[in-house]
Formats: sequence, structure tokens, C-alpha cells
Amino acid sequence: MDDALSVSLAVSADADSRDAIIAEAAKSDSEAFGELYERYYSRIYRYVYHRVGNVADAEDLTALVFMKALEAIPAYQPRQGGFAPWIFRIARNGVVDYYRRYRHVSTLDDVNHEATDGDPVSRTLGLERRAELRAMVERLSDEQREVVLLRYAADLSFGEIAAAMRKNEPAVRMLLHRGLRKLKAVMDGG
Amino acid sequence: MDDSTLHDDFSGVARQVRELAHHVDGAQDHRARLRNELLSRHAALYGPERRRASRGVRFPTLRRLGLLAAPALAGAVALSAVFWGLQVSGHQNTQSAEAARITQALTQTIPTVTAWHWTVHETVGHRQYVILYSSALTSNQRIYVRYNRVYLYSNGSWALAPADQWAESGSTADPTMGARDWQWAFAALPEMLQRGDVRFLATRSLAGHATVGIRYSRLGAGGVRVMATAWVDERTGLLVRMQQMVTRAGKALGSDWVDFQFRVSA
Repeated sequence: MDDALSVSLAVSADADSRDAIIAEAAKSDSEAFGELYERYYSRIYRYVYHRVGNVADAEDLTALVFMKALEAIPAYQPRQGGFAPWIFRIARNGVVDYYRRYRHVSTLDDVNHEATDGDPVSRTLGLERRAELRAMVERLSDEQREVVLLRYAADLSFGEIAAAMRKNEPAVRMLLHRGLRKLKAVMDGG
Repeated sequence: MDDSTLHDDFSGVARQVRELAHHVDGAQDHRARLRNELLSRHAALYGPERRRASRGVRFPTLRRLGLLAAPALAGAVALSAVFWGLQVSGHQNTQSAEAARITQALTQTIPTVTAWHWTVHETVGHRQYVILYSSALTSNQRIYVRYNRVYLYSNGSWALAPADQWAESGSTADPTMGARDWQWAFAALPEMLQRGDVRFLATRSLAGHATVGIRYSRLGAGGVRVMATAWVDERTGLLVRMQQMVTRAGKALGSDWVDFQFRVSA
């Protein structure tokens, strides 16, 4: 990245501006794209994982999201919304496409995919916790699930979720409120 | 993240959901491998190495070996008889599984390809042409399937195989293929299979290969429709024969078929 960009980065306070500047640089600078990748990999992966429910598909979809982002980055316009909503729109479309194509195809579960990762106890506990969340969010409506995962798996702000889902912020807050109410009922055994 | 607007009862739920959701992260090797691939691809697409890459990545050249014959229309008539294979009344699920199987076979086979020949049988009006072409990779070139696309790796640079005209969906100005375009027809298969708007035909034996037919159609400008069928080796996923029939308003304008032969390394 050049000096002017470094200065801009130093004075930018909020993540939105920083991401927008890095995204602008990423149009020609591979290191800048690498920085975006590092900033978003876990968030994209977590969101995708909790949508599809298994490691193999989550890895493939995460790769697909970043490949599509790489191909589309020249057309990215910060004025049309932040970088986070932009890349999560790609992720959401990827998941929708996944379900459209593979809704009839059964996938291997994580027990098979993670047979060699970690010790058996922590692996089992990890799988149980993921299954626990999956069982809970499956009780939500599609939109509630989307908002809950974008909020708590992807760590998006309300404004970013609204932009990613092309809704207004009050609608997103309402969806989250209802989703959490339902989740609470599930946790309380309702 | 500000959840201050949430009722206290829900704050606890929110905290718990966040904790559960964060209890997952991608494998480090996947993360590192993907990063490397993305940066290489970025450099090839946009970076300062772009010009160097575009100069450096030399696609295998097309070599015309000769015009074999110019037989009469009889060949085309025979073609039309074999063109319309029996369509498998397959369930979507079966087709998806078959597409995944062929893609996997291709992913394994394509890196072993070192050269290929193709014979174009082209019918225009009442004349038919049979033309031989060949193409070979150099010793420092390999082709790979990544993210359902075929890439040429050459001297440390990556380039997307020029097969987009086959893979693209929707209307194009000219969806028909000329003789030169057939060179990379096989490279469009993985992406085509992913799109799901293809139909599988009953298997048949072609040039000693057990093949499965994969059919799709494209609509171009002026109402020109191209119906294409790829006959793919069931075991390797490689293209054995590609056929296309061009029609407008139900009237045949021309047809071609191309037989492929691949040389693979041991």
C-alpha cells in the first residue's frame, strides 16, 4: 500500500471507513486483499458454517465467497454501502445457491469430516455445541435465522445487516427481537 | 456490538448464542491455502504482475493438422440421427450426484493431461468439413480444476482457461462455436455441471469409451438456438465428443461434432 493510503488508514477511526479504503486498495494491491481476507475469513466461515452445518461445505462455500469477491472487487463502490454488507451479500447468495442446488443431496456429517482433528473429548464437545446452536436456530423463520447468524456469528452491526439484507434497521431489530424471544423459549424448554 | 436495546432477558440469550456461534472457526490449513490461492489469483488478475502474467502465460497454441475430407450432407443426416440420445428421466438428486461424480473425476484427471487432439466435423449448408487440430502443454504447464473452473498454470502464473463462452448462461450474440473455439470446450464442463441447467442422457459407448451425455441449450441473438451435447468418459470425466445443432425457428442451420483425444501423463 502506498503512503497516502497508510495515512488515510491511520486517521480513519471506524471499521467501515477502514474497510472501504482497504477494499479500494485491494482493487490493485494483493496484500490489501489479503488484509480484507484476514479480517473477514472467520466471520464469513462462521456464518456459512452455521447455515450449511458441515465443515466440507463451509470450506467450499467460504472459498467461493472470496473467489467471487476477488472477481467482483473492481466493481465494489463504497458509496453503495460498506464492505461488510457487500461481502455478506455474496455469502448469502452463495448459501441460497447451495440450497437450491444441493437441497436433495445428503452431506457427510462433521463426525466423518473431523475424525482426525483434536482430542476426542474436545471434538465431541465442539460438535455438541454446534449441534446445539443448529437445533435452536432451525426453530426460527428464515429471516430470523438470517438476522441472528449475521448478528452473532458474523458480528455485523444492525446497519450492516440491514444493508446486507436490503431491509431497514427497525425491521432488522424487530426480526432479531422476535428471533431471540423464540430462542429463549427453546432454551427454557418451550 | 451494541445490544443495549435488547431486553435484559434477551441479553443473556444473545450472549449464549454468540458464544455458541463463535465456537467454530475454519481449519488453519484451509485458511492458509485459500489465502495463497487468492493472492496468486489476485496478482494474475489485477496486480503489477498482471501484464507480466498476461505476457508470460502462453496458452498452448492451436495447430491445424489438416483438412481430411469434404464429404456430402449424408454425414450430417447421420449425425442428426445420433444427436438426439435418450434422455435419462433422472431425478434431480440423481443428476446432482452424477454431476458431482464427473466433476470429481475431472478434477483428478485434468492435471494429468499433457496434450489433446480434436477432429471437427462441421456441416455448413450442404458441405461438410473434417478438420484435425492439436494442442500440447509445454513441460512447465499444467491445467487444474479449481472452484469449478479450469486454470492453466504456466511458469508460476495462473490463467483461466478461455472456456467462458461455453459456460456462460443466457443470451449471447453468437452462441455457436467455430472450429477454433473447440480447443477449450472440455474446460467448460466443471462450471457447466455446477449450474444445474443440464440434462443427462443415457450412457453409450463411443470410440471405446463408456460415456454419459450431458445436454444444454443456449439462445442467441436473432432467435438462434444452439443445442449442445457433451459425451463424457464416465471414468475420467474427459470429453470424448461434443455435438452442437444450430436452429432458428425450428429450422436447422447447421451442425458440428468434434471428437477429442487426450494424452495424459502416467
